[in-house]
Amino acid sequence: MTESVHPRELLSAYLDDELTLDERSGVDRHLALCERCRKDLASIKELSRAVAEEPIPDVPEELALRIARRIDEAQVTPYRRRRGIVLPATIAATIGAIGLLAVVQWRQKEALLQAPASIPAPVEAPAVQPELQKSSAPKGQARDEMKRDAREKDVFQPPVREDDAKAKENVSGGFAPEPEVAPALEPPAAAPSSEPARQEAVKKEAGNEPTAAGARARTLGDVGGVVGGVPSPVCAERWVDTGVLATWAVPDVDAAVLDLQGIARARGGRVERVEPYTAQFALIVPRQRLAEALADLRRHGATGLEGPIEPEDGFECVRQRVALLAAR
Amino acid sequence: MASFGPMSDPSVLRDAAADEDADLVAKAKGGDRRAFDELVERHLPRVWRVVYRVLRHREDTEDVVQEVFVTAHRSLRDFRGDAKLSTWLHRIAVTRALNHAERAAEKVRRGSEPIEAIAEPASTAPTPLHALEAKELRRRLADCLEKVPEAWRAVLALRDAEQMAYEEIAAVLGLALGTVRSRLARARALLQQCVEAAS
Repeated sequence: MTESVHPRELLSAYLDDELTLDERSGVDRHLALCERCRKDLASIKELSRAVAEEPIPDVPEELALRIARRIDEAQVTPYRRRRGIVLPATIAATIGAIGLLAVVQWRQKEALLQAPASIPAPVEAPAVQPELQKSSAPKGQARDEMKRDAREKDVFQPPVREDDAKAKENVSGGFAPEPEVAPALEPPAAAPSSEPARQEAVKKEAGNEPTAAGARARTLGDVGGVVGGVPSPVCAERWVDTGVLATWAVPDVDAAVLDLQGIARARGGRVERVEPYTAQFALIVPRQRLAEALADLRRHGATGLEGPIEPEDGFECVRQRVALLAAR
Repeated sequence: MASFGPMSDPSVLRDAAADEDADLVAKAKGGDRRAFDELVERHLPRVWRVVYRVLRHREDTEDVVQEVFVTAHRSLRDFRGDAKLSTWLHRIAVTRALNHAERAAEKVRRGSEPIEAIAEPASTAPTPLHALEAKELRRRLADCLEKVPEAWRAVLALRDAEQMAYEEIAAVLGLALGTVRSRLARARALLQQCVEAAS
């Protein structure tokens, strides 16, 4: 390292003792020759000390109490799963769903073939249909294979709503068996014959329009934010911790998941559980449907989707994770 | 009188604190609300400091710190203990603080002068830091920190105020080690430029 090349960036890490031995000895040699860098180093040190000593207000006395109150408020509604297990109220009030807004470019064919049977093919997938029609396997067999693939790929099957579960409990006299295909997704809707009818169907599918039963509830609410991320093994954990994607506190996680499924179905995507978490879900849609899916999420009450994802960090994390899910 | 033995080693004390945290986390996961309240008591001051240093606004800090612990309580069962609880909490804290700042900026667009503008060559020669009186340095520093982007303030807070190693900062911010190093260097360089140029 010569005197003419001032290692300004290294000086900061030098001060913090975060350089490798080689780097450190290089900076030492430079400092011995360069008065300007010695002054710079002294300034950085002074500034660092001043930052550390900058006075900040004390923690308000009652803040801990207010935090406790907020947590109590978030625990109000007990949540009953379809199998009759009451989850802790904590989970009940705040179980999150993650909407992973996919940035992966799917080929339409892959999208259809990888999609579980419970998720109909993308509405706009004309190129795929002829491929399927060429298949020598009967439709039912192909469908069964797709179902099996979906199970093997650990594609998330949405829970049934509580009233559906109760009906099943009445029949079986106990726990309802795991539905092979979510009731809400069966039977697959017949493809609308005309373009206006198709658009209408898509709107309803995504929850854009009130259903015949009345206006639907907003199931996705409080925002977790959309930031951060890291291209590392802790990536998945950061999704939850930092809300790289959005985390919502929802009054009814089953309803939220069903709505995510509805959006996925309408936009040619799918919903998957984000391992290792039990209540975090990824909504994966083809890139070209992303804007529509975002709009759908907002219609369901999700906000904060505009938060930044830093290109250098979070985007890479999202990209890797989505690629991983899509490759399954 | 200096004391000797394992308890005089700060790293041992940190490990002991981490063990106590782990016990409390296990209890809190089991539904023990008092255990979680104790975790709040233990970590509140540090979380408060970090969030305040990012936001530099007392009321906003109060709001965000509450969100941090509500989020932590909600997500506790997903905390696997791979990282220290303090790292996990700081991660939530910094993210929430940056989110908050981003939303506030979008709403208000306060139009604060970007740091680059401050870094323009001063008409008069900059005053070296060592020549400043402590009071004047604090005043200039406070002004300049207002103008540093929040994400950079976060890295300054974690390093200079909380004395975290780069590796832990990387874990908290979800950045590569090299990014932490360069971001910190840039933040310090800009801060230095600003303080020296401020009149």
